[in-house]
Amino acid sequence: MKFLVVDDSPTMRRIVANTLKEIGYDSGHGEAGDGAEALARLEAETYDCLITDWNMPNMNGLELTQAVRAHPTYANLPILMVTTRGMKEDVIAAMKARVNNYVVKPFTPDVLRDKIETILKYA
Amino acid sequence: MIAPQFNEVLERLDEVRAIFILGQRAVPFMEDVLGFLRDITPILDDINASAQFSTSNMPKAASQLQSVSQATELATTEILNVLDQLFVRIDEVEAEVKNATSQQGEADDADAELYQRLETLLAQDHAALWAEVQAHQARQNDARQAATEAKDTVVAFANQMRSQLSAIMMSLQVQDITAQKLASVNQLIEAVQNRMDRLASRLSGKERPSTPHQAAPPKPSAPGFLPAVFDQAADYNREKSVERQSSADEIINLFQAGDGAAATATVMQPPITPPPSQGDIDTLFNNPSGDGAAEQDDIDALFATPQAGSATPTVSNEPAGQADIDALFGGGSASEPAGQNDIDALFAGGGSEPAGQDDIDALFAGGSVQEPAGQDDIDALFATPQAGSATPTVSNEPAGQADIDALFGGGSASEPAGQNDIDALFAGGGSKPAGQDDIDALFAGGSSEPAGQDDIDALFGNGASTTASQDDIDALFG
Repeated sequence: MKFLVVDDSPTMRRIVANTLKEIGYDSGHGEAGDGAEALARLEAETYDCLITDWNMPNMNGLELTQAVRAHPTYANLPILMVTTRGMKEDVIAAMKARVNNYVVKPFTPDVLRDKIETILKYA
Repeated sequence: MIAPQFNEVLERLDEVRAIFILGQRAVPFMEDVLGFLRDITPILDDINASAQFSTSNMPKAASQLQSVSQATELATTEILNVLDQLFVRIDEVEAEVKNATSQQGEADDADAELYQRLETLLAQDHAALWAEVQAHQARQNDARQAATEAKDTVVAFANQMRSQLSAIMMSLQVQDITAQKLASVNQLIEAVQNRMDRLASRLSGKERPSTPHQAAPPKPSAPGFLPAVFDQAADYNREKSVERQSSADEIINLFQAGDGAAATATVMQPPITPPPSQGDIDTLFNNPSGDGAAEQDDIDALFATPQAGSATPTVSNEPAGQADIDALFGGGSASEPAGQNDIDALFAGGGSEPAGQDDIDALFAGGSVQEPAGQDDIDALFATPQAGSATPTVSNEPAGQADIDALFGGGSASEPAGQNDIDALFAGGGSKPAGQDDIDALFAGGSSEPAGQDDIDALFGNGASTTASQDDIDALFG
């Protein structure tokens, strides 16, 4: 499993990457600081799953999801939104944009593992 | 002198008499107006000084928040570096234990084979020697058992360490959440600074250059900078996070079951508002009439809490209270009252010293720390002169919105005071906003020098160098 971790906070990118390693997904991952950079990464490399924050400059996680879903090559890429936005309206908006699952920060390794397993089950 | 000429003189005298009568009637009013102007000048100076003081300190506060964000980012990176090293070391220890266990297993197999051969050779013909070998084997087994227990302890310790280090790492999510909170506060400070800039400009009558952040592009998101985009509601609260995750899971399950409409129906308000802009903040402070003046309702609306299931704060009929202020300082948590640290942070502007009475006095006294500020200062600010007296009387009742309205609204508290009232007061109904120039012109007769105490003394003291007194006022009017 190769993940692309997208977050404008370098700290969060490291935490997510380390957690992935801790829960057994240790086959390398890519990083991007915003949605636009993530799209460029997706053009250059193949990933199995996209883990993205919502609030980011240039292109936010919701816009990134919409762009990915509209792309002919990787429209079916599993997407996990990991964000501080935990209101119902936010979750609904994300689901309508067709993210596969949703994690509210601060999260635990167990929640991340559970969501990734669910994503892979339905992917 | 002929009769028509007498009549004309008498008419003129009647006119002069009428002027005197009018003058006599106008004296109390003029007395009140001059008293009011005399009182309001230092107040306006104080407000101007306070606005300038606040404006000059706000960039420091914003810079301080940037520094805090930078420091926490650096500290978090350092902690993550150490954690990474420890994770690597734990991996190494586990690999060493695994390797040792494997080697031990091979050695055990070789020993077992050796003991089997020794038994064949010694058991029958060399019983004493075989007994000695068996005793040695027993000691070796004991040592092997102890080594296995030690290995298990190391493995358990390594697992525990990994789990605890992981908990530390997960706790570092607080840095991201804190940075978003700081960015949110920074935006608020910038908005308030803009307001104070405008207020100071109006009071001084000088246009100030717009502050750099007004036209500045979003700050880059890099170590040392606050995030350009943030979630104002970001909260590091494990319990809340679990609740929100559970609520999110319910919605996800509905969507995955193909019932997104049911999920949407659980929410009354339209989804998602874009990140707040300067315009949003202005709208937040502006009243619906769009005249730019914030009212008590606007402030109450600022403190209003969102209703369950709604992203939009609902304005309650109740004025903002202590709980609202605590929530403002406590990061949305109203369970902890605002503390001295919160106040210090507000006043310290980068300084390490706690906020003191001086800070508050300086705020009210325009930089003068001679006399401590008190409730009287606030009340005096709003106190109205009594009939026939040029001196405002401090009432026992604290100043309220009604006092402000009454002050500007000519006694009518039915209509809130606005900028127009101030302009009308100084500009004689003109369309130009009132400024320092208006006050100067009033006192200095058009001179380019700002109005001061001397001007007031000159007005009342007929050019004498002594300070104006009640006698001077009486002389002027009497």
